[in-house]
Amino acid sequence: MKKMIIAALMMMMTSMAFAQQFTGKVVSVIPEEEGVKVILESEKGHSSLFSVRGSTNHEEIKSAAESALLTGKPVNIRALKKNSLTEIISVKGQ
Amino acid sequence: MKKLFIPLASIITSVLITVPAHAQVTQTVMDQYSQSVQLSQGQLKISKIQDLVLAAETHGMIYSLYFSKNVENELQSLAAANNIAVLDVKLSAIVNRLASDLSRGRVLPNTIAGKSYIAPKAFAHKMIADSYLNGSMSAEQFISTVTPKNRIYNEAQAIVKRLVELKRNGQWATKPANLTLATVSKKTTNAALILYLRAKLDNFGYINNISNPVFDSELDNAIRSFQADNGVGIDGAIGTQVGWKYLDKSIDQLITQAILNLDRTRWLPNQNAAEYIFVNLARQWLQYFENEYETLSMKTIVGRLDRQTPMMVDVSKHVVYNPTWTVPSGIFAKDKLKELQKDPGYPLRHNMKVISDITKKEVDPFTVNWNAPASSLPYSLVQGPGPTNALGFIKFPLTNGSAIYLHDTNDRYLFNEANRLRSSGCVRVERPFELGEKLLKGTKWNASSLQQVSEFSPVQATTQTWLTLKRNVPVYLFYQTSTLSGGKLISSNDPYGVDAEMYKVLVSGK
Repeated sequence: MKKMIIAALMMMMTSMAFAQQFTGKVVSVIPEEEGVKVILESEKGHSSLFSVRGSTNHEEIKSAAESALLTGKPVNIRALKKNSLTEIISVKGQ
Repeated sequence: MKKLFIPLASIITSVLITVPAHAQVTQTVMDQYSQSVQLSQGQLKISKIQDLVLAAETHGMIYSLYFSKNVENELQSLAAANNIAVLDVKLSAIVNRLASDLSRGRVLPNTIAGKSYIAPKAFAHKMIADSYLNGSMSAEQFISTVTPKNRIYNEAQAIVKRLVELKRNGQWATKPANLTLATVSKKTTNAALILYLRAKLDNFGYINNISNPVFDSELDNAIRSFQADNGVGIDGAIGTQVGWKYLDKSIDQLITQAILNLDRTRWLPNQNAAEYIFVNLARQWLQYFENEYETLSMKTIVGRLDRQTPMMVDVSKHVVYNPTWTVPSGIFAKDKLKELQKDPGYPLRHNMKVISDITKKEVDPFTVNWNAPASSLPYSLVQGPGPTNALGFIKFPLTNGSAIYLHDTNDRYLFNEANRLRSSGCVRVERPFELGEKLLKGTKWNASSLQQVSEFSPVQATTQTWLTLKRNVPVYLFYQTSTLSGGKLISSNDPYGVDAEMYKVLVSGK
């Protein structure tokens, strides 16, 4: 039990420390077999971020990204580099 | 997982097979009634609902989930106090819950996150529940009205009934205490082992002769048939690693599994269409049904454990031959990007195009800085049609927004594997041209002509072509670990852990 708590805390701390923040407008949400690709437009250019189907909050992320695409309102996306992809942790409106 | 199953199995099966303590109360009440002892209005109402819940047991409902000892005591107290108004409310809640559970599932599909994209059905039986409470409907009529009317449900219910009868009649073979399981093959002479194997194969419906202590051709055929149905290597021998693990299951475990499967079938539409595709993700198997008769079946390859194919109800409207394939982001970032960094001409040499995710237009790969991080490269690689295309020669698009569909493959040898949990979520089908013919019924197309314009095309086909079906065909991506095949019972593993998830919800009593 103790080990599990420590592992969970470590995971949380790691994702907080290494998560990147992307801010901009969602310009495309592309469904793929493995999940969904979200293209974000910011002042720095375009970012290609991904949410893996089967990850715990995938449905929530997909729905938030689709909603942001429709409204055109800027969002903050937190993402973490994992398995060569930049995987989305959360999508939040500004 | 097995540890989890054992306690529930005994709860469920004891309820199904023996008369529960609470039901004995009903019996006592009914006995008193028959002896002309005047029952109160409240007691009569309670016994009527108890009869209904008992009748629902043949549909896999668990008596104690509706009439726990505490509930029973509370209701009897209300009856004794002649508090009919409150009693009616409580009984009405039980009947409504039972109607809901029988019609759309005790465990709802949205309670097992990530494994099912099926929306719970709306509850549409409040009027019927009221009719039963008001006395205008029998228990059988009530159950018949609310339960689904289709082959999938009937089959699942038949499995529950069959297993319960095997247990009730003491026909489920259990391993003699002094028998050690070992491989059974043509060379086996251990009579006790052969007789036990025959008894187990009889339980699953594969053999009739259970008294011959010799390994003969009938036993050999039965083993091979069992192995084929369970997707394991066909060698006519039952080993301890695979064969006995499938056969030597406890009856309680199988009944629990069958009840969970029956509950799951309630997630599907009440009535099936004239034609539909049924993909069983647990068995990695596809069946095509016409007027509820199977007219085509084949192996499939479905999502691996970390990319599980979700259960869904969808529809097929098109068949695409010579499809293009968009390289998934994971493969792009992990493999293709390295190739592009080494040689931007890679796409051109592999029948691929670079497409911008923003403009959707083709981009010259030599104009892109492929050394930038993958997250700043909003491009997709799209592979043209041909023999190296990962989707093979034919694709069956669906309408879901998750890019899950059925398709051929350029790795057809994988269908020979026992473990076919290998895709990223899509369903690869073993005989795509035959499936195409079924779907394109009423058009000029058949399996042969589809193959001619794609796989056997003298000029390598380069154009993705969409064909429209004459009617929409429902597609169920579903998950059944307990099935019947020609009267034989197939109890699969639970690779995605759906039974286990449902089990947790069921025992939580929610």
